[in-house]
Amino acid sequence: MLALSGAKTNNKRFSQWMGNLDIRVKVLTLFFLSLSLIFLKNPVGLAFLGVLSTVCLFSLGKYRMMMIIYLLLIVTWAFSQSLTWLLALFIPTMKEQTIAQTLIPFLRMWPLLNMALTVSLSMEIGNALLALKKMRLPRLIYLPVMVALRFIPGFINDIKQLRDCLLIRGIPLNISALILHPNRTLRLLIVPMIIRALRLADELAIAAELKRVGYGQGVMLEKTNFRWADSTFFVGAMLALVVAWNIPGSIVESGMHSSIKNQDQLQRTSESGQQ
Amino acid sequence: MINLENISYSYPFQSTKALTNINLQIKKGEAILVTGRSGCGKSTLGRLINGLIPTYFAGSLSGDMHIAGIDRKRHSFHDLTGLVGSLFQDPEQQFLSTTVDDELRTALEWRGYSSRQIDSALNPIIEQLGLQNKLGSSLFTLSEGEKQKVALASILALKPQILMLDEPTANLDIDSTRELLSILTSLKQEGMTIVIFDHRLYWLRALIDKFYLMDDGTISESGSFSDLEQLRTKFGLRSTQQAHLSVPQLTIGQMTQPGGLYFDALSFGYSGQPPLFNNFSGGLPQGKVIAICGQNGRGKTTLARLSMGLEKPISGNISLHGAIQSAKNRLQRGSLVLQNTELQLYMRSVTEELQSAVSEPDKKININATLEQFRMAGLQDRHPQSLSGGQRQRLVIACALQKKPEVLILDEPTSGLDGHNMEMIGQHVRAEAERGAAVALITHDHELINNCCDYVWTLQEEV
Repeated sequence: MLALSGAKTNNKRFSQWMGNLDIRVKVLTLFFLSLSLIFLKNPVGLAFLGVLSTVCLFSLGKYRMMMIIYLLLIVTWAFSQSLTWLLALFIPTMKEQTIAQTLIPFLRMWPLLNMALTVSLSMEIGNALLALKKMRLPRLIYLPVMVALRFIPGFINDIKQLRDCLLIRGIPLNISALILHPNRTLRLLIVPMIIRALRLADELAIAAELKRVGYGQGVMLEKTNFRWADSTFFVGAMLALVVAWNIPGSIVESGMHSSIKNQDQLQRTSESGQQ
Repeated sequence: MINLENISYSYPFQSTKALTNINLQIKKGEAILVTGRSGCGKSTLGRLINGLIPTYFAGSLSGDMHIAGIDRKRHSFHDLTGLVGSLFQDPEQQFLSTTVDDELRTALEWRGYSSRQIDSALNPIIEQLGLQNKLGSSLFTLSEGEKQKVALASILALKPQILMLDEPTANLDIDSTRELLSILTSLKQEGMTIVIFDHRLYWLRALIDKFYLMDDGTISESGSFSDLEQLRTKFGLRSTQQAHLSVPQLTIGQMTQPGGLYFDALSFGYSGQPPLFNNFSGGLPQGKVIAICGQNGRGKTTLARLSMGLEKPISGNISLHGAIQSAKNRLQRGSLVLQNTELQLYMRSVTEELQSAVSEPDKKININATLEQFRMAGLQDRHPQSLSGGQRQRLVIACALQKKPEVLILDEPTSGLDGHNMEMIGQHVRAEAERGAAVALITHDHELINNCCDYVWTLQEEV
């Protein structure tokens, strides 16, 4: 069972190399990538990471899902750019905001989304739980993560079943129903889901208590080593990060704050020039 | 082994007592059956013995209770978890892992056992329950019987003194039930105390030493298994005899009659899995009640989903009364009741729920009469989600019937229902068929099949 895609598996050989990698390597790569994306301001470097991470996601064979997500990203960016132009009519400093500046947050989201989806969609829950055990995380972290991983697929399945049950009762679940009857549609969705989530939480707590999870002496673990494919992927990913940081290109600040800052700098430069 | 004296209990915010003055003595090595009508207090008594009351269900508890030699007032819930093993009706509820091997090891790992100690504890149990070939399997791919074996193995690995089973055969086919009985018999011979809470009685004849019959929160009768037969009618119990199918198999001629639902050369399989139906033809004749049988995982529920348009076939047609119908049309003209009743109830009261199920919104129905028919009188204003499992199941079926469907399919409609309620569901199903609907029941329950079905349709391994 896969974490976010229910019980469906992709049997294509091409898609399996990501799934075969050690979960610890994938999570660590995602962590270092996220950290880099906070500070990296070079659009060329960000685009480089975006392309590489797209290859990883592409290898899973979820082309339709990729298309929808990229389309959403583009639409959101276009919306943001339109708003920037609109605001520029009323706030003069916004005229300084370049397309590259509005693009930067989306260039950051692109590799992050790719990698997060790659990790979650290529992860078998059972292996993820075992890997979490091997990571020797404190119980405070391990237990909630284990619970979330174990029950996310079940919860997604419940949502699908709820949709089916509503269809059987002749209640359509679409955007027009949400707009025309917002209260009714939300109640139909939310009430069973909350009840189910509460019951699931109770069942889980009871199952865990009966197994004495979180009590007693705790788990004794055997050491497991990385394989060469894991090490190669990790080294490759870290090298890609180094390249992204050192690739030639300009540093672009993003957001309205940067426009105001740019305006201040321009003013200061012109003032000093006049003096 | 279990000693309850003058136990009374009421759930939080409830004025009526769920258990009243319960006295119960169970000796070591005994196999005990606790039975009674739906809502009589069986589950509450079970929760008391395995310690969930008062740890998880606080409420008001009085009386003395000794379980496996320990006084519940002086010991915590965790002291009990090693002594009482509980097998739930749906074993999936008690799984914490995703693979068989990991699930079996989890509880022992958390007790600090080394890998070698775990192997030596588990190996004999794995062998006893025949799970050797399943260790690497995902828990989600197992049949219901296999899931139950895995849950049982993980309990037995902890060497409990008492084994409690809650409606263990509710989702099992006949073969799996037989296999469970054989396992329980050998555990009893090894000296384990077994307490079973169940409506289905026939399979327990050779196992149990004594029964306790509950009624309205008290133990009203007790005795040996043979005494149960004379109490059946009075207390609405299920049959004590194994029901042999007396209903004929559905023939191709009956399937191809012009009225009803028909699958023509249907092919379907879930992504990445072998096809469930390959050029499959068959149907549900109009005005008849058909029992759809077959092993767990054969595709019975999938066939129901295909009928209602919830799954799209790879190829083939589905027709209703001789005309090919789109998925949307089939959904509008049919009703399907699935097993997950919690997800099928949305409104704020039972009355609203029933009214919302009527296909013509302006048409008012007689709520009181409907509830009376489904033995739910007085529950008009209750929130549907606050009802018991059996009551929810009856309400969902009642809602499905309000639509006056042309095709009605019920998936395991009697799991957790007592004899009276099973008969009542049977009567409603027959009435629907007489009205002209094509009715199908997906069930392993031979008693129900004999009670109300015209034909049995067994889905074979290769179609």
